[in-house]
Amino acid sequence: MRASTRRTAGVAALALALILTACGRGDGGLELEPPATKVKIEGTDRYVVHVTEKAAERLDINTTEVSETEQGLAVPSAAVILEPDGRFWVYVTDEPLAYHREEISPVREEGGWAYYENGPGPGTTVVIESVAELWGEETGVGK
Amino acid sequence: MLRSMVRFSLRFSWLIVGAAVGLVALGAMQLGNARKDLLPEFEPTIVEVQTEALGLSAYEVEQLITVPLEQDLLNGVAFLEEIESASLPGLSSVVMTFEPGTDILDARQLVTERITQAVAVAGLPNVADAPQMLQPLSSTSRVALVSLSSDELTQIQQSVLARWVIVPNLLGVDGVANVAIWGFRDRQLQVLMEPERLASERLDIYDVIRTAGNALEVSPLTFLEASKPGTGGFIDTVNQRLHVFHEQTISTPDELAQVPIEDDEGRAIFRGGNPLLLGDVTDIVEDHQPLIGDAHCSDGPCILLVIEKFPEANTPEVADGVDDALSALQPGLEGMEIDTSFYRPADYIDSTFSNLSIALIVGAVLMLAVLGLAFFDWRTALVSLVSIAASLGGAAIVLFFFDVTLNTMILAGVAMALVVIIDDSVAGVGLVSDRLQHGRTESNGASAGKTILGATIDERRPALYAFFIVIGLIVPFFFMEGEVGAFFPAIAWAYLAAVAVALIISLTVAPALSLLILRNQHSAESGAVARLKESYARRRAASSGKLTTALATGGVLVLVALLALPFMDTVMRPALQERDVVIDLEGPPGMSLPAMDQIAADMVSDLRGLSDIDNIAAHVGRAIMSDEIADVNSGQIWVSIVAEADRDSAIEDIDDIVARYDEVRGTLSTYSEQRINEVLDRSADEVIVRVYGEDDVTLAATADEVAAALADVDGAASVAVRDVADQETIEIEVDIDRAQSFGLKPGDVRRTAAVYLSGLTVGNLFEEQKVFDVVVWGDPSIRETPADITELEIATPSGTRVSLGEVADVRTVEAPTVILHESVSKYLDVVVSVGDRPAGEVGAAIADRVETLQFPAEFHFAVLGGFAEQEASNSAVLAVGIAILIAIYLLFQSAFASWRLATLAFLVLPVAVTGGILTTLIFSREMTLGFVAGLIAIVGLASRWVISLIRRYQELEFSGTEFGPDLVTRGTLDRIVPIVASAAALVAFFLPAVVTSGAVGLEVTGDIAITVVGGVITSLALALVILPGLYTRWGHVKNPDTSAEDLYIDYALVEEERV
Repeated sequence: MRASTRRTAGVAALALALILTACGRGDGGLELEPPATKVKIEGTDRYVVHVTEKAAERLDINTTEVSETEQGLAVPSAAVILEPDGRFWVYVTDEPLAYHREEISPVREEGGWAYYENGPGPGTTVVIESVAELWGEETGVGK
Repeated sequence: MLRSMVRFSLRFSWLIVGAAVGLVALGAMQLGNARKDLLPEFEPTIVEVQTEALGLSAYEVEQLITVPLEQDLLNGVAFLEEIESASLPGLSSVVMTFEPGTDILDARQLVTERITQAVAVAGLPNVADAPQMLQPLSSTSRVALVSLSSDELTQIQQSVLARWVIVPNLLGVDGVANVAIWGFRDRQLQVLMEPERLASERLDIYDVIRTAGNALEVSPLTFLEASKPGTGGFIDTVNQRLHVFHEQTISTPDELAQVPIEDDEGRAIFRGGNPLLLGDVTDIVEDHQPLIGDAHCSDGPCILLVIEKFPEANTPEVADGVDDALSALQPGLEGMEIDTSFYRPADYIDSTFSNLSIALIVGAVLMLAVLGLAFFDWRTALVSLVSIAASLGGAAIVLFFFDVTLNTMILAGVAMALVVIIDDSVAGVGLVSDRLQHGRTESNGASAGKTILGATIDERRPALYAFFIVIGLIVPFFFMEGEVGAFFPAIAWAYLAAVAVALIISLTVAPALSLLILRNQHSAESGAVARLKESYARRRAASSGKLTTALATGGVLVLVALLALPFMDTVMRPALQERDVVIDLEGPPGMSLPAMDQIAADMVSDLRGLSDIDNIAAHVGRAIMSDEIADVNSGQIWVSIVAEADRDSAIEDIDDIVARYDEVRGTLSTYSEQRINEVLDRSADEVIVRVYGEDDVTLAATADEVAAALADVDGAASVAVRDVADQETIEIEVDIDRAQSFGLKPGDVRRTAAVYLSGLTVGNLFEEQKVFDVVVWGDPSIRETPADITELEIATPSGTRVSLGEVADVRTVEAPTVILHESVSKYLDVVVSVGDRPAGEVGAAIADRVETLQFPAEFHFAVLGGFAEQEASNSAVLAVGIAILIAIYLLFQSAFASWRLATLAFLVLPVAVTGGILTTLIFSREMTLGFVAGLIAIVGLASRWVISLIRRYQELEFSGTEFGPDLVTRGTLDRIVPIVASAAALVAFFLPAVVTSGAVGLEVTGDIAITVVGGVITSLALALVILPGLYTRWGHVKNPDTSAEDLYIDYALVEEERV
């Protein structure tokens, strides 16, 4: 080939390569798995939120157990989330990295604790940290 | 330069023709998008600041609002030329007029800077709403009237919908500046008190005010706790932020009635175990505020929306926008009828354009027929027509390029330019055609291109000189004041633009078209033309004493025209034949709103009986932020004349009905007439001595003194003090001693009386994105008659009951209806109407006399009158006019290189306009703007012909022909075809406009047409009879200036080329 033709071919190949690279995945080629997914619970409008280990670590999801007291079943106030329709919910978990909402009622809050009669029984594991993030994932923040 | 332009066009003829077609198409398209309006903006730059103070009397408005605003704030605004104000009951209006040429946005900025300091710096008391600067408005600001009525909804409900739903929507329409609501009845919750009931529970008005105010969420009264409503706050849990808000509990009278009374220690009052409620001691109702005006339609009471537009707004577009907005709202406004059929200037504009188009098309057809049949073959006529169309298209594009709003004045300017445009095309193309034919018959081998070039150049030079002459003639009009100064510039600019474009078209499009279409024409001279030339030559040869014929004709024409002038009236304002009529009603000062309402309602139902009118709407008094600065004793009725009815007889019928009502003075006009009167009316036959002063009594006395002193000034026909209308007003003055014995201060009396008589807004209700007032007021039964005032109970510190009459004097006095200020001072005008002496002299004499008088302290005077401005503008016009005449004379001189010929041409030119004067005398007897425009166009035409003829004579002489009658005859014959063709074309074209002059849209253009048709005929006489005759006698220049020969070098060349 002539020198000039070679040069042209080289430039064209380089340009092509760059273009292909740019057209490639914008994430740099790494496949990311979503930090959390949700699965609908049959017969309700609620979801089970499945969280990856990494995500749980990042969120620092801490839990505690429902306790029984004279004033009724108790959970820390930090576990409670209030829905726009006025109902109170807590996130409970029976399998690792899977959380779903349960309603608690009627709720009386005092001294950092929320007392109720109907809802998850004593000993149930409830989430007391990152409740808002779980709730955001369930209700679809940003989607 | 001219040669190269023509040469270029001949070479690229197809390109030029294509461009011309494009020009016409583009111009036609742009016509649809152009902004349109009736009249140009004739109002100077003004800014108006209005302050509403419901219930305040004129005197108090002046003292508390107008004076602080004017003196401390607005008087120092930069570029201010005049500051005037009106203080009337409930309204202060300050109007600032800025120096001519001030940009409206600059003016508004300067005023805004001041207004924002109104409360802080000027100390405007908390008794009125904040001062508002009105939107910039067009000179004829009203663009639509919309009536709202309903069988199902109350007027309050309609008002609420109007204020909160309809008006905000309308304000969003492009071009809408302001919407005022007449008959507005605001929904209020009113707590009505009776002194007896309050006294029976040992309560006073402050208990009621406190309770009602604090019951609500928000109150403007700073002494109530409710003035600090506080915020709801929010709670942060671990996971969520929860905001707190308080839903309003009270929205109906019943709910407010349930509130327990709060005593001055903030405690409830118990009677038998139950708290005393607000509803127990007062009546709480839903009602509306005291009215400042009202509206009435043909079916009964209604709400009238008056829509005003921005300056330079596109009227048809605004009207359509309003219609669209309302029909979009209609489905959501069940039960409300919306009527937009009143006052539609957009319809007038549509009629204008359609009538003008018809006149244009019929005129064009006639012209085409005349040209084609009599003079040329069809192809030549076609070339002329296309050139004319291209000129119009070009003119349209120039106007749109400068973003000009199309109005009757602009269109008149274009009509005026058509005289030049038609002459350009017909004469130019005619000459080309003539030369080409001669070229054919003589078969001399000269190329068509060269012939066209020569012919075009020949024709262009006279045109250039004529162009400069006309520019010169227009210049003085820019210096004029008053109506001419306001309207003529629009005509002038449009004319200049169109004529400039025509000049270019005639150098490019016409030659190119001629080359393409006429190049190979073989037809012989048309029969008519040949006959014309023959008969003219014969007549010239036959008539001996050509000079006497010429002089006689000219002399007679000039004499008749001069005699006619005194019989003609000068009406320089455009009298548009609008079919919407406004009846201005004015009742005696002090007339009540119900009385005025009744008169309006009666008149409306009388007018309904007339078959030649419909769409009747009336409004009385004023509305908030409206264009009417008047009290309830005045009103307007708007009426439309049915399309099929005769306008004059309809107006007569309306007049008859209005005249039946003695108690009011009714004046008929159209809206634009009314506005022109308001803005531009300056009578030049009055001298006014304006006496400025402070207090009314001394002012009146001083004015009387001045009037007496002026009574015997030479030239003063009558002297009178212009009265300020007074009306019966109730004056309350507290007697300090008597008040003191009860522990009362004058302020206490004022405040209590104010609450009982005028009401006090104690808080607001917020509902569905609307805001309503809650008002504490006296029960209607205690404020029905003047006597009730004396019996009002004033709250005393000790709890003793005392009536107002015991501590104050209540009197009926005469107080001014409106208090006018000019230059921040009250004034009275002493009006001297001028008799025999010229106004200027009388004015000077008056000024001298007044200076000898002694004025009280703080008084001064000024001598005004339209004559002052008239004098100034007259001298300016005179100076400029003389300069222009000299310039024209010099232009003639450079055209002919001969002083004698210039004098000849200059003196002979006025004959041309005599025809215009005579035809105007026959048709209308009025000298109008159109008349003046037509005369200028005729002068342009005639000067072009005169220059063309004289140069032809000179050229013949220079190329060897001997001077004599034959030379003149031959020269005239050489030019007879273009001139006569042009004259015939002009008469044919303008004839439809003459016949339909006075129709909608053709008021000004029709006057132009009438003048032009007459002027063309006398110009023809000038060109064919008078000028040849005079030239034969005086035109021979024995020792021609050698420089003259240079003038004709071009001609020589052309002659060579031709021969």
